[in-house]
Amino acid sequence: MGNLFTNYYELAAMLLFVIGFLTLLIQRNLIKKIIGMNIMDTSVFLFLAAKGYVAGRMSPIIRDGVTDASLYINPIPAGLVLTGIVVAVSTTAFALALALRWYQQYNSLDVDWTALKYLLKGEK
Amino acid sequence: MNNIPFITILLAMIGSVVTLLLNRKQKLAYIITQLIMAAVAVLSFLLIPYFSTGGGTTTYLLGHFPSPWGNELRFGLMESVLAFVFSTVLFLSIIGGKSGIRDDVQSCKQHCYYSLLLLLLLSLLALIYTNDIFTAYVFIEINTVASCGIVMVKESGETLKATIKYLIMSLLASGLFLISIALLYAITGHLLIPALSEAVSGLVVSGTYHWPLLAAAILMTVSLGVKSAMFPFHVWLPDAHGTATTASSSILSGVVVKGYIVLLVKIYYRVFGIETIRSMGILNIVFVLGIAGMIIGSIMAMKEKNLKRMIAYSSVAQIGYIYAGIGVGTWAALAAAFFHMIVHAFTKPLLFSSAGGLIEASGHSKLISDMTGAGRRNKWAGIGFIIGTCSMIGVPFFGGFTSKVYLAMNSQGFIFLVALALSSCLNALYYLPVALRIFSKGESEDILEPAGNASNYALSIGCFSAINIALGVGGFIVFNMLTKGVEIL
Repeated sequence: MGNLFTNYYELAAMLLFVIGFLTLLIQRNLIKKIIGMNIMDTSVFLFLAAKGYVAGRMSPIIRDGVTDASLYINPIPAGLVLTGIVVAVSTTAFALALALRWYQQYNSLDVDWTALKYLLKGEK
Repeated sequence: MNNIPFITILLAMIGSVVTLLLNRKQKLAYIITQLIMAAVAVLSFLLIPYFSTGGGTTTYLLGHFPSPWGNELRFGLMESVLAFVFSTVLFLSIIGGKSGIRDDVQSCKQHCYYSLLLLLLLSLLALIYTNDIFTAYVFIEINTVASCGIVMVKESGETLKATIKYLIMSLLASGLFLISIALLYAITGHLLIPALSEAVSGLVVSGTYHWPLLAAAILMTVSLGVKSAMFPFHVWLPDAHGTATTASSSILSGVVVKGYIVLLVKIYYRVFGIETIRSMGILNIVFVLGIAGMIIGSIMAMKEKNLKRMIAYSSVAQIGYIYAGIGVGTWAALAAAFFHMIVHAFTKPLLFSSAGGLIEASGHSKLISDMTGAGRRNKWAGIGFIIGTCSMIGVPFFGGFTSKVYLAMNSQGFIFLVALALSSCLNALYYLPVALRIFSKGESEDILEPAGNASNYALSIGCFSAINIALGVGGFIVFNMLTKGVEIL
């Protein structure tokens, strides 16, 4: 149990991931689904950012010509998060465009199946 | 030689931007797309003799940073064969589906369609060549958006539904892949595959972080399983592949799902190491799911009344063959699975292209019951369908026969053999009635005109058929190459 409280960032990230995943899986409303996808992606970014942080060090931008790596936090997760944000933005834009088309076609944002039901039963 | 993979990726990237700008110049967009596809195929083909005589693999640094920090491409015999096969299939599918594209895609949007196809080629090449799992994630997402896009271009209610289902399934899977990368990075501190696999094998030996490793392996299997329509996660496939325009169906079934399988094999063999995966029990699960897919996919296909959905369900079964081959876990079985992948990559587009022609020849009805005599009205489509059928059932001298023989030779047990036999019988049960129906005389003979075929359609069907027969007769050459290729995977 103790570990869970010391690693509370990771705990929060996992909880958020599950919330986002389930929202994407069981909501009927397309906009809510897209929000769920964003929560899911953001939770992974939180996880990565928490993993890259080293207590008491500076952000990885060279200041005053100091190049000693032991003074800075790990920059790679930050790079991954940036890339991940770009990917998440583009998939969100694509999903929103499809949701718009769905609304134009059926005048509603609800789909008549949930992803969970679809996964279990197929199209019936 | 070492620059070829990077050049092919760059060509596809430039092409997708250029075609996007060619508003109202559909012909030019088509020609540029096909030139790039052909160039990629030729360039990849040049790599094959280089690696089959020299052997080994090459690592190409992107950005001059050495191993644990930089980004890399890595390629050998396996990768170049796959790149050649994928680009050839794309090239021939676009030729065969051209009339379908003209009918189904609004003419002001056709250049966007070609741009999506090039984007798809780009992401597939990157998935094959990359040596970095985060790069793989980025290209998985590009692949997802592009493949949803090529389903959506045929604008109708059913493709919209299929696209949304496909997109949501893919997004769930992408999220799982991302979190598994984050987990692996958190416990190893690496993303580049060689450094990562070293760190992972160190963890396995020391026995630390067992649960995070297991979780990462399971999440990767599930996420790539959803994307490549592994059996219990296949539900999106018949909708997406069955409703899209002919060229899109061919490409999605023939090539796109294979890209994810290749990535999964890479992760199994090069990140975790196959012994780790075996001791985790994942290999057995993959094997069982593959067997289940082989049988249940075929049963679902038998129930289908819509020709394109029937062929799509048959893809579920064929992907089951591939996964069962991977699940056996020996080098020879893996090579057989890859060989089946290549045979299927050439057979399924042939079936979809012929189905497109048959549907056109029977008054745009997709129902099998309306197809009586369609093969007599559209000869090339009929012949193509027959050859595809023979290959899928496994008639000797067709590609499917050779791949099934290799799978059976390396089956390592009774269950796989029985499932192979059963699935082949089921294949015959649903393909043969259609093949007979399209050549039997019907009442509608006088109503529907015989369809004239464009020469490019005949060319595509002819090439696919010829390759199928070539794989059936001379398949051992490809198989030997693959056996050599997988061992240095």
